[in-house]
Amino acid sequence: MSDALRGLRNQARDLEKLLKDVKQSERQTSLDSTVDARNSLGDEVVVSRWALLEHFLVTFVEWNQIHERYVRYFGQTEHTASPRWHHLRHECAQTCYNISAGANQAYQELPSRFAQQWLPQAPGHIRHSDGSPDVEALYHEIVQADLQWRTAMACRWQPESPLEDLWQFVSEARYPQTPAASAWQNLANDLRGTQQRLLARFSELEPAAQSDLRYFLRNYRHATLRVSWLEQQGRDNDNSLLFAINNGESGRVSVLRDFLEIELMRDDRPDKEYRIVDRVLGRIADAIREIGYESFVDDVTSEDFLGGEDSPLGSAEINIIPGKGHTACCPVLVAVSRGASRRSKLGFGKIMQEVKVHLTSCAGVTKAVIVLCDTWDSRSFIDEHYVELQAHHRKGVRFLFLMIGAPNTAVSGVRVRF
Amino acid sequence: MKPTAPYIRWNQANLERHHRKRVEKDAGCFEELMGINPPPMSVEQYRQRSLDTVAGSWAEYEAEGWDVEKRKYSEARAYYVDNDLVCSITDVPRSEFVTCFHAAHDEGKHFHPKFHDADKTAEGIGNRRLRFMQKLQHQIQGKLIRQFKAKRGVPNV
Repeated sequence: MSDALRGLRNQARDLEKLLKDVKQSERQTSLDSTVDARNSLGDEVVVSRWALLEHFLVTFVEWNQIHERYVRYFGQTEHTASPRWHHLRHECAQTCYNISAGANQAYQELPSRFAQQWLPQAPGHIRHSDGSPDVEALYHEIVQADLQWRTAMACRWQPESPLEDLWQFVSEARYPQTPAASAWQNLANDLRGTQQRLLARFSELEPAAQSDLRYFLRNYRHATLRVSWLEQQGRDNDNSLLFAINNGESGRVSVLRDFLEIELMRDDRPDKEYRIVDRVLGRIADAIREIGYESFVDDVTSEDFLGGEDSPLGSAEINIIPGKGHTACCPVLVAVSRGASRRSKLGFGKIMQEVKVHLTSCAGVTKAVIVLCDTWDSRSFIDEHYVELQAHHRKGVRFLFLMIGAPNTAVSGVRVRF
Repeated sequence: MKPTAPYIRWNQANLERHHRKRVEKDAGCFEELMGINPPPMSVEQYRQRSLDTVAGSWAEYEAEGWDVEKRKYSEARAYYVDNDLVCSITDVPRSEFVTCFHAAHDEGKHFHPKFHDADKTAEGIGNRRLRFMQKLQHQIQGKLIRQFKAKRGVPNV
């Protein structure tokens, strides 16, 4: 099971408990009422009603967005992901709408109440008293600011809302008019200002601290599937702080262009095959740069990964080793390895064996092979694989070996001349 | 099960080092939480607070944390969190303290003691727990901690 699915399941359980507490609190009229949180926090624990509603809205918006991305990223459908979640999404959407639309006086106060909590009284601090950078504090501020912005945008129930896919559950109107929409919009605008200040704080950090922060944010982006190809302009924050900090060098590596233009000999190749390889290489480069090779391998080799155009591989028209993907032979094969251990199922040697078996059974169909690895032993490669691959090369198959460097977001090609 | 009378010791050099961090790097923080005036907090007060945090904890979990100074993950440790969100960390056998600090809430309040969330009402404590749960989730997502195992008071992820 992928980390993403495990996270979704755990968070869905928490959301169910939270929903029970929220529904039980509906009897209260004031936001400052003390309410029971026995399902979320345990017996004898009480919270303020506004805090419970805040936690519910933020948790639901985040969970729903991850769920929506999960379906696309892993090539699943809503039904295969979990049928039970359809009911949960419906219930949460209705509750979220009732709260955020501002149907009653108390709920209309929510945006201003959240503003008191979310808009910092002091600028984001990045240093301890002794002047050393506090990367952890800045990480939490950045993640909070991003999540709060998306929650405020979601609560508007207007175009480009992060909950746009849930309108079907709450209203027949395409964009239901809600009394609190403008208040939520104002809060979202103020939170944009917070994000800009945090970006400035980031730029003041020392390089080592920036590097650590990028590492944490990359992990966060992976955990929440905030990858560039799934983000939608406007809806997911077209100037997202997470992307501004994390996006460094451009995705495409120059050797990839060499491979496309020279190795594939474009004029001799069907356009479709060329386009698939172009797309797949671009997507792999983006994915590894944004989430790191370890996470990339974990995802594409997980049992819930089915591939597809929105996946880290970028196409449904490829074969994948190891994994499911297309069962029929495709013109393009992507093989993913990790380490060189002969005992590991992802070891380079084992993966190359599977590649060779595939090339035999898909002879004449598979024309381009992309192999990803994080270790390279030229001597072993020549001894164990070169001759067989050379034979395939003579029949028109082209190979590209991509090697992961340091950090594990750096990709480059390994020259193999047949 | 929460330890009622923790017999967790401190290595003296480690105790003094972490005490020094609290009164220099986080100057004013523990003093404000514990009502110590005039500052600074003494080594004995710090030691006692670390024990009180374990005894009064509502959350307990194990994880490997990111060591800021060494810039790599530490070995697995046990974490205890109390109602003020003071966190005591021990080795996994729970025989020796590693550190004790105030887990920052948000918006940099940690660095300004006057912005400490000092609400001691039942709902104030409950609200802090909600925020801590969210913060813990983000720590796990960002891999500020990894190999997380919930023991008490927090959900497994």
